[in-house]
Amino acid sequence: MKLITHNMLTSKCLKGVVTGYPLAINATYVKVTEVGFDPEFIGRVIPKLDWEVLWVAADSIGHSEGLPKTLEPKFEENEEFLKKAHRVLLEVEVEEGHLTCPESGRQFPISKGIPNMLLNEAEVQ
Amino acid sequence: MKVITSDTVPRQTRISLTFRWTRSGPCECSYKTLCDSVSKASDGDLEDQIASNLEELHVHQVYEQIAGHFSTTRHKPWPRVVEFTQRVQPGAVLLDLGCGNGKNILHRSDILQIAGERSSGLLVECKENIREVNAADCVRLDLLHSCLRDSCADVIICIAVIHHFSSRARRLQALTTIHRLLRTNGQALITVWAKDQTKSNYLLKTKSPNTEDRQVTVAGLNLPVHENRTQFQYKDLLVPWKLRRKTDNKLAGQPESTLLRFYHVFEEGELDRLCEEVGLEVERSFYEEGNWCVVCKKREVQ
Ligand SMILES: C[S@@+](CC[C@H](N)C(=O)[O-])C[C@H]1O[C@@H](n2cnc3c(N)ncnc32)[C@H](O)[C@@H]1O
Repeated sequence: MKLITHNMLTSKCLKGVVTGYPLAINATYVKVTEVGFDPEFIGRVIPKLDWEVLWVAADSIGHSEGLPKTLEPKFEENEEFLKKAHRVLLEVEVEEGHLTCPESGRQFPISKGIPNMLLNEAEVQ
Repeated sequence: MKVITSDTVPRQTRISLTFRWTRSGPCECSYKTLCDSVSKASDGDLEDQIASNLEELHVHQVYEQIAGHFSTTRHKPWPRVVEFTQRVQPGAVLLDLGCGNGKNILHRSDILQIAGERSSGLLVECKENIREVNAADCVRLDLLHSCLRDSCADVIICIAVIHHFSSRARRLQALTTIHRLLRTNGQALITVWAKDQTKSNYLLKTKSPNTEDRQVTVAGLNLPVHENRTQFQYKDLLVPWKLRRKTDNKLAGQPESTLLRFYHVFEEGELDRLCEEVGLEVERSFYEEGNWCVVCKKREVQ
């Protein structure tokens, strides 16, 4: 699971859960793989994300170094920044671990890099 | 015998006897879509628990078992899907829901592609297939429940998935998830198998449907088993998959077993109506290679 994906996951489908966002990450194995850098793409996709959630997520797995906590104006022109963002968004991957719903504590396992967001019928709203 | 034509006779006490034949065992009538032993619920739709059990047995478990074999039969994305996804704007977020082995994920690095799928076996194949794509990732999910943020997607594709839901209510629920995940004015391409296969390559000229219906009872329902490569006789049916085991990347020559996948095949306009019902405005709809396809847009809320 890449952190860009984590940025969009929620557990709000659970019965009694209101926002279910962001999910806490508990990683037992994090992998970093080099991925082709497309600065334009990174610049365009960042406005669609919740940057603070990304920062906290990166920090929780020890990858926030050098990453600003808040977005600066004109970040899309700052190549240095875009490289760092690229790295946490696409190169850092949680291979094993789990995600935790902030409200109910329900855990979602991550195995072989794939988060399992399936719910039992009894758990959903 | 005296034939009375125009005489009227005052009504007297009459006795009428009706004899009914009560049958037991699986229903063998040929009115599967009307028959109440096929659809148990009063409004003709399957009860949710029954539908859910049916899909667990005849969709999810089957895909888990056939994942390896299925994946070897799915390499190239459909031209119409590529045509749609190629036009997606750079920087967009695209969701492929029910992605199977990820064959529809484009090798493009300027959009984010998230592949969602219920079968863990197919996701493993998918993960491997998209390894080379810069901004693509996999999530195990169920289309009935949304585990992604509302309005997170600019574009959604859902290719050959909605026909696996066995009740109308669940087909609507799946489309509601798509609606929910799309941003306003976001577009989706949805395709399903069509009941009418006359204009596709699916039919084998030499083959005609079995005159003797084969039926299977599952989850308390009787469902017809389809004869592959013939015209569909029913709308809700089981389609055989002859499983060939895959070992060391080689497919066995002979099928070792036959598994049955549930399908609800669509009439013309049926998918369009369901889309409209959940607030997806149909922009284009067409028939292609035995499938009904819809391009729709999430309406702005007034
Ligand atoms: C016929 S395959 C199509 C796969 C892929 N979209 C393609 O075009 O090759 C149907 C897929 O839908 C998935 N599926 C069925 N029910 C689902 C559900 N409730 N949620 C998510 N995926 C589902 C199956 O596991 C399977 O991969």
